[in-house]
Amino acid sequence: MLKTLNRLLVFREPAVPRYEFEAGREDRPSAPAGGRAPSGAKKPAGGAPGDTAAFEKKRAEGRRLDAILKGNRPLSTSLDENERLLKEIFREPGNKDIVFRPFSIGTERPRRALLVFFDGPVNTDRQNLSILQPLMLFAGLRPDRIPAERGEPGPAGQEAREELAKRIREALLPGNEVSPAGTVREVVEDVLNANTALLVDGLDTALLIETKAWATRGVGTPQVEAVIRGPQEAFTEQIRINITLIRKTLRRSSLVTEFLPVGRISPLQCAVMYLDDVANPALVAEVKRRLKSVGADYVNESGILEQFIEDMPGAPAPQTLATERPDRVVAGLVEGRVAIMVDGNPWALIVPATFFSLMQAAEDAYNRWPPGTFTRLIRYVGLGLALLLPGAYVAIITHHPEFIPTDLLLAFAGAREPVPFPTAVEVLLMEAAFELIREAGVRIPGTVGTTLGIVGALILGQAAVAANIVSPILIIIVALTALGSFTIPNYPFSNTIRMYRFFYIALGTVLGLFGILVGLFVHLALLARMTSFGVPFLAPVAPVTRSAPDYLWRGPAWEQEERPDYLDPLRRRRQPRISRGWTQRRTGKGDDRPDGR
Amino acid sequence: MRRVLTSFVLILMILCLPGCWDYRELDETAWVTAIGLDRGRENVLTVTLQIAVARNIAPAPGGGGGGGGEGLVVTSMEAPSLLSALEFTHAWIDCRVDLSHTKVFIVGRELAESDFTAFIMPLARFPEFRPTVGVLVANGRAENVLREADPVLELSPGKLWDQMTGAWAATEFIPRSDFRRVYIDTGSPGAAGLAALIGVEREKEGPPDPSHKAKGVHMAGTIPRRGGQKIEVMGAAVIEGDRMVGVLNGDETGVAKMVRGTFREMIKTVPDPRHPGRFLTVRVYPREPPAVDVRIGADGMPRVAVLIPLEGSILGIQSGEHYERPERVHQVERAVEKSLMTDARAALDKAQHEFGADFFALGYHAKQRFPTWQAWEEFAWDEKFPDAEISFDFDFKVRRIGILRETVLWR
Repeated sequence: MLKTLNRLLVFREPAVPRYEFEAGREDRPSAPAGGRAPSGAKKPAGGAPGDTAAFEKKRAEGRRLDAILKGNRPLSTSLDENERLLKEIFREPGNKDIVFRPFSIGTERPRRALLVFFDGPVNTDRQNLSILQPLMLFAGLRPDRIPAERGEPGPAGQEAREELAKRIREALLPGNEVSPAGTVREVVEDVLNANTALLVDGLDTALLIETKAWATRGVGTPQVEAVIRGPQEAFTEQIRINITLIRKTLRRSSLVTEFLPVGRISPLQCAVMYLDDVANPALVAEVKRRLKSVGADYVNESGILEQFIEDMPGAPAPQTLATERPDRVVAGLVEGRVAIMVDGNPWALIVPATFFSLMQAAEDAYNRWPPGTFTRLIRYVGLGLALLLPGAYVAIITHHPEFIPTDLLLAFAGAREPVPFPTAVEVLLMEAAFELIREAGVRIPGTVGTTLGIVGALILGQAAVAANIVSPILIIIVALTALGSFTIPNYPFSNTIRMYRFFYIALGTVLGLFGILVGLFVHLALLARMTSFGVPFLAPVAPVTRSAPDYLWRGPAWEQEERPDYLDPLRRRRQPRISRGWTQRRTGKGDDRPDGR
Repeated sequence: MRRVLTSFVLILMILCLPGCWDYRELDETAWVTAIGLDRGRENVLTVTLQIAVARNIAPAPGGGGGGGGEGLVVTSMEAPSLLSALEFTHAWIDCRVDLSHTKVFIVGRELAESDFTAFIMPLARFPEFRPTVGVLVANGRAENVLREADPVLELSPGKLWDQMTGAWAATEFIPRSDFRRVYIDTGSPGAAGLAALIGVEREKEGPPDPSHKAKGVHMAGTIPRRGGQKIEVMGAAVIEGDRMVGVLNGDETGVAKMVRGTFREMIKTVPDPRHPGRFLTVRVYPREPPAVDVRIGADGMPRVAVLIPLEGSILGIQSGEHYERPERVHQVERAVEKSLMTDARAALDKAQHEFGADFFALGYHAKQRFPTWQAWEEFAWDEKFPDAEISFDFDFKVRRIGILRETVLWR
């Protein structure tokens, strides 16, 4: 309030700001200052003629440059022409990020050359020491192989040009990754990837030199999938680091990482990782097929990518398993699943995902099996509570009071006596309040986060009861529901479940437990109908397939003998029947060591 | 997107169809915890409802509600039948009366003796009425019992009734008398129903006579006591055919329970065989279900031999005699068997000669002797029962002697 007042007094902002550009407005004062006009304003009716012309000109220019990139235009031998084209593509006179650094290579007869790179994401030390220094200063040190200057263009010069390119690449650039490029498009893409392009006058090949130095966050601890026991590393926003984290845990030659660019306006690298000798090739092919076909404008989060590649967009559960934990990805890869990562975000997708994999936490496997199974069962109880408790409460209270022990019933009735709302309204009110608090908790800036706790505790706790808005029993119901929903380890799945509980409240209100059972039946039918990359969502329960004891019941680690049948992996068996070799008496015949490789 | 929207709207429309007809709020319902039925004064029946006042039993912490007020409301009305009385209540009870939490059903003795089944048995059809409801006969008017029933140790009347009727498992003198049992026993040829007897505390004390009397000679309404809540449950009413034929005292009820197999536990005080005027106290449990052997003699009369295997522990030896020694334990066993035998003879005499009603449910065992239901019906057990040859045998074994190895004698 004070801030607003201050701003108004001191800065005296004009009450109605003047806009230079307004889409679709008839009397636009001037031509669009920059940027594209929105597509809705293709032909502003009755607009000034100069205006439309500028718009159309800009559009034509964009299309022409796109065509150059898409058309795989080869580089010219003329440095000037290449420079002009690249400047045009990078919108140089306006764009201050792109750097064109002309210099000359210190050969006997100096040659003009040009470095193209973005200011910021490149490693300047590396540029100085391993590109500019050798090219400018040491190019003449080994005169024996300096190519002679013969006729410039034509077939005779071609040999010399290749010789020069080879010489620069092999002898003069000490960088670890240098690759030649023949087209404008390759140059542009690599420069966008924070590498440096070296263009030499007279050569129609550019050299792309690795100089990436993106600003990234270090490897941190998992924020969402925290565990007590187990690795405490999480993915970061840099895909290379993420892949490194996986390779660090899974050192196997058959671990394949394939890159597929996704997105039209700014293609981001998507990595597809799988074990070549375990994952079903059909599954890998299907993942790649779907990724290649994605015609998305811009995909910067795996959550967006997920929506493009999932089997059933309207289904009542996520069909990919998003995780920020490298160890979970590795566990998935070892089972024969495929991991998809998007550059620039710390969430990997594991496909196919099943209901039971969404309900697993990484820690289940790290604990001994009795507590592992126990915590997993607790989680299923939580799932049931989160989904059904408020609905069942309304149903039982309003339709089946004979279910409740008399004393409890009288306690409920007594507590409800001063509450003016019907039970269903009361439940909806409190559940909505809880959803508000949860959503606010996510959105609230950290510095004022503590106030939320106070407000939430007051609304959900004391005050609502004291004001006779809700009965105290309902607070318990809402709290149990909330706790239940937070035990679901997969956040997207938890959100889905929380949403569906409102359906169950409606069904419980209208039809009682019968309604809830009908709803549950339909819900299960929908889940059973779902597939994730062709794998039934409820596998291995529906349809029944073979699986190690690792869905409802978490068996001991040495009982996990087979990979899930529904993945149809190339290697079915994970471990021999007896993987604790020491429990057997030595027979001297053969070695019973687990077949890990 | 259109499909999703369409299905959403369709689901909403389907949800509107049922219309919430069964939706009823807890606080808009009057929870009847007990029903009393008596011969009417201005109509056929006097129906008494005991209604729990939830507001006072479990007051909301937010305040507002009374607190400290009465947890119960008892209201009586004159009506032609029970279910029409329920409708009647709308006239002065602002909430809808609901029987789904009714715990007991009490019939006044006067009504029970003239017409028991006609007013109670139709309830089996009524969906709100649970078959686990306790059926009790009031030793007096049910109306009075319900007016005096006020929980002392509990807050909730539901718990009061649950505890009172559930006591059958802790003593021998309260029969297990839920609606289902009474209904089946009363309706079946070959058994008489047994309903627990409930009464209001006696009004004046008996004449002074400090001699030994077994506790089992009493029944509800005559228990010599002072203080505590006003109502009491002890003994049983025997229901044969369509009406009640008589009452059993505590000991007789105990024998009936032993033969029926619903006996769980009792504490028996028996005369010391070697010290007149001194007594032994033992705890008695069933060892095995009773073995009932029924034979139909050549004359068509049934001969029944009942063996009741019991076991138990010695709780007290007043005389200090060393009965707990292995070679003398049998003396305790014989004494207990003798005492039980006396009770059994009294009960059998009542069953065969006073009531002519098989409240031991021996007919259920006899039934197994007949190949078809028709044969069993033709046999007419109820008519032959009074003249049947019935013998009881108790087999009591002492298993434990308590936590004293020997009584220390203060001489």
